[in-house]
Amino acid sequence: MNTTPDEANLALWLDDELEGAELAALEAWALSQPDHLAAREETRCWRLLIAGAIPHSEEPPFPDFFNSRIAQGIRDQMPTPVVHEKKAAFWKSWLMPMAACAGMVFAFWIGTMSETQSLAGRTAEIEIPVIPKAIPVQIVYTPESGVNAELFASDATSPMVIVLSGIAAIPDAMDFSATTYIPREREFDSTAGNGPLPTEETH
Amino acid sequence: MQAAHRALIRIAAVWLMLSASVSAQEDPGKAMLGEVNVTVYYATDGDPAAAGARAAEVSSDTQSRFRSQPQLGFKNYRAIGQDIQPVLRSYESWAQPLKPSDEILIKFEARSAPTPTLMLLDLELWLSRKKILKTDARLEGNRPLLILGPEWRGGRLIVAVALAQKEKSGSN
Repeated sequence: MNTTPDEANLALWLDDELEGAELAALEAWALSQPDHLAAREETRCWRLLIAGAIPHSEEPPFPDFFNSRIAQGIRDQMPTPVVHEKKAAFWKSWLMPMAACAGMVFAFWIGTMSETQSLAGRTAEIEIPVIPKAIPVQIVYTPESGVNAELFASDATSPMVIVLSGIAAIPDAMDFSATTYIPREREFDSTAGNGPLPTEETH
Repeated sequence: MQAAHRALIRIAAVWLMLSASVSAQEDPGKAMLGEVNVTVYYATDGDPAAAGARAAEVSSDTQSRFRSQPQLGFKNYRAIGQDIQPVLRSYESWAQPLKPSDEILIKFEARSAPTPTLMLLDLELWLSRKKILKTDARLEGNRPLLILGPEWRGGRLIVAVALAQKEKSGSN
């Protein structure tokens, strides 16, 4: 048999991993191939050399299993703490809700008392005789900037006078002669007031 | 066709006028509480003829009353316009004493229910269509509110606001 083997079988043969009929066929072929025989011998030498140089190590199987077993052994050797369950006092079952209810009632009572006191304080404040009641004060307001108004209040019988200052003069060219209604004397005299003249002036 | 349209329009207009008059009569807010008399005087130390030929003379009593107030003391006074407007219960009123000019306007409305001798008003003075003064006037029978207003032709204008007297005495 002089058939040349394929590369894959040849590589397996060089590594001594070929078996069966394929190994026999390739051995028969290699008898006439001294180069390949020398190469296989060289490969075997290298394999032996490498196996001698690299230390053989082996990982332990399932390290987690062993670690968990070790931890369990440690726990088994430790003393187990004894839990003593204290039985709650019988009065705690009703004292706590009662205290909470009493607190809420007290807070509500404090609130009502403070409101009553504040109302009483307000009433007392209103009834202080020193505070004047509803003094009528005439308000004079000038929304236009630069305009001022001054109120001159006299006694009860004299007219009230408001003096405006800072207002623009009416142009002299403006003519009011076309006013439709010029009052007669007896009509506008009442406008200016016809009561008794004031006896004193207060500014 | 057009005649029918015109008839319909006339009927609608008459109906609107009637409904408006009925609603006005039924509106209690338009009840009149009194009348306010607004008079504008021209006060000057110069020639009173500057107010115009139609300006009216002022009685000696009124002049004395003006001169009793130091702020209103002038040599001559003339009345140049007057307007009397009602005080309504719920609506504001405008007095235009210098009609047809709107140079001086007085707006007022009632602050409270009046008594026969006293009326409280919210009052505003408008000059040249600008609100110049806002005050609460306390008008009594013979106690007007006098406002010394703007300058004009060498003098000052005095706006007098008073309750209008229903019966004129004619004895001034």
